[in-house]
Amino acid sequence: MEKKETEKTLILVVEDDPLLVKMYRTKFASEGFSVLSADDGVKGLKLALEKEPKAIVLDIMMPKLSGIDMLQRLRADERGKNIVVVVLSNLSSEEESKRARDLGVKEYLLKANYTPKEVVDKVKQYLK
Amino acid sequence: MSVNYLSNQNFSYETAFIFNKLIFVISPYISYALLFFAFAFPTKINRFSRKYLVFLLIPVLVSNVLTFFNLVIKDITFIPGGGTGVIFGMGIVFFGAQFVTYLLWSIALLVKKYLRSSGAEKVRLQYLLAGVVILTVVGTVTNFIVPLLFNNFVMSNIGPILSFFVFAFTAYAIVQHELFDIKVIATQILTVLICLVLFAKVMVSQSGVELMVNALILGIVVIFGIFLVRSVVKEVDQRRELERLTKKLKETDTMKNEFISVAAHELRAPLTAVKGYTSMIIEGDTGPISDKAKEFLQDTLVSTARMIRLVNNMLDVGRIEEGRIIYQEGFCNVSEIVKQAFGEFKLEAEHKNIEYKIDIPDGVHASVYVDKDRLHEVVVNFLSNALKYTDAGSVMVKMTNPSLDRVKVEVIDTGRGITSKEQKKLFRKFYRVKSNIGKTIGSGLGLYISKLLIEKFGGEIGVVSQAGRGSNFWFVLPRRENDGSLDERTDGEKGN
Repeated sequence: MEKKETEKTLILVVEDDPLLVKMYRTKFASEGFSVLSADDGVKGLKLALEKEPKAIVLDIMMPKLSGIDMLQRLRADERGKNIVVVVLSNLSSEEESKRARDLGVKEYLLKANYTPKEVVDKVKQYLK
Repeated sequence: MSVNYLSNQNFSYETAFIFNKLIFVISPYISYALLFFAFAFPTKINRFSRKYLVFLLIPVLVSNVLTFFNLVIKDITFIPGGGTGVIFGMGIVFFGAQFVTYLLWSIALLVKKYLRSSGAEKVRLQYLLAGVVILTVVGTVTNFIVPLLFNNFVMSNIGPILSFFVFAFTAYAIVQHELFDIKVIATQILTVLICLVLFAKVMVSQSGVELMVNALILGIVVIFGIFLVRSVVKEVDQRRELERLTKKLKETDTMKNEFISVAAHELRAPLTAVKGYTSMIIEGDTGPISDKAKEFLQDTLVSTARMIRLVNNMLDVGRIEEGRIIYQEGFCNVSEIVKQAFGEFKLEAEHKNIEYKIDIPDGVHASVYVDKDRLHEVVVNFLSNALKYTDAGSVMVKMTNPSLDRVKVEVIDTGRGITSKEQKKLFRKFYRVKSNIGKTIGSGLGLYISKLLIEKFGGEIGVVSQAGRGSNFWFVLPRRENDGSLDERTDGEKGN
């Protein structure tokens, strides 16, 4: 039996490429998640603090507020301290990766190396 | 300074007059030298300025002529208590005008250059200017204003000592801020000192023969001195040019890395979409599709994966070489990595219709201390190559323990094989094996990166192959158990 919308786990996808937002939204929804999305860091932070999703799939290179800066502000707020964050970026910078890990990110994945299904599986793994 | 000193000694009237005149002969050259310097510093003088500076020598020579005919100083007086004073003629106006004009001009040029300069050069010019300005102000007061207005020559005699200001500031700028190359200065000073000693020797020669010999030695030393200074200047110039080129090269390199990074990022974005959507159609997110469509889409995925690997390799090679990659090293099980990579190529092997096998015996020791994503890359590179170059037969992955403290992974194929000559170059950057179909394929980076990574993890990498008889690519890693023991064993896997 299908879960009711309120029972579904809420996921936030913060990503500026509309093609990829559609892709991840579709996949997470088909895997039984309730999905929110934001196309920049400012909107992402606002949604994260207001809706308190269980997990955030976060891009790094974004307009207005980068993924790392958004993460920093998220962690500074009590509501965002414990949200599971999986970074999904096509920028494989060691410096960014280290900063993200220092901010309690579960995984720093190279976007092109993972299919949406694999991303969903990673998130599921950390929500157990 | 020495002429000034001599002019104040108790010589006869004639001698004292000559030395006093000599001061006025030399002074215009000091102002000219400063102007020359202001034009030439810090870059070399250009052809236009050179002609200009020859032209500017004319007022200096005119001033000398006026001095020669006693028009600048008419006479001298002996000051009671020692020293001499001078009685100026009308020529002092021209003399003063030339001197002051050149001095102010030099300062103006240096100020202009100071304002336009930046960084270390600004600091150097600052010290130089400070010295020149202090000398000008104090020198004008002691040498012109006081003697002309108050007819007092006591202070003018200490005037030249003030050149120590320039000397001190310049010396400080040379030593602390690399105003000039100290090597050149040292060579020049040494050469001049030797020449002065030899010149003195010429002057005190007792006989004609001695004079000739000493003069000859002086001549030779002067010529060699010039060559020596020139060669040192040349060497210094070359070093500077090298420093400039090195800096430029570093800038170009940074730009190249930024470009590759941006390009790779921009290439990855569309590849992510192609890979993601294709995988979703195969997984049934858009509803059921025919087997044929599924097969074609899987082929698309294989190609996309290859493209992604290529982009990753291009991006990674520079960073691995330069040690800019931070490895996420930890204890991990090689067999898990091998199994995962093996699984990723199952479809490709199926499509090529070749036998695809894995052989991990039960109980094989497989714990190593590596960055598991990077080791995964190595296994993927091996498998991707094996499948690319094998059109019939089999590809097999095998794990063994050649000794208790080592783990070996082999990817054995029945492909076209590699000649021993080519095997030697195989792990070099951009080296690509010439295929027997007349074209080379691949970026020539995969095996090079694999070698860098395996060596980074303390292992060895190699190939055993024979043309036409397949290849065996292998790597060996040292075993490392979490608790320091070497007892942990792994579950084996055999199959297709």
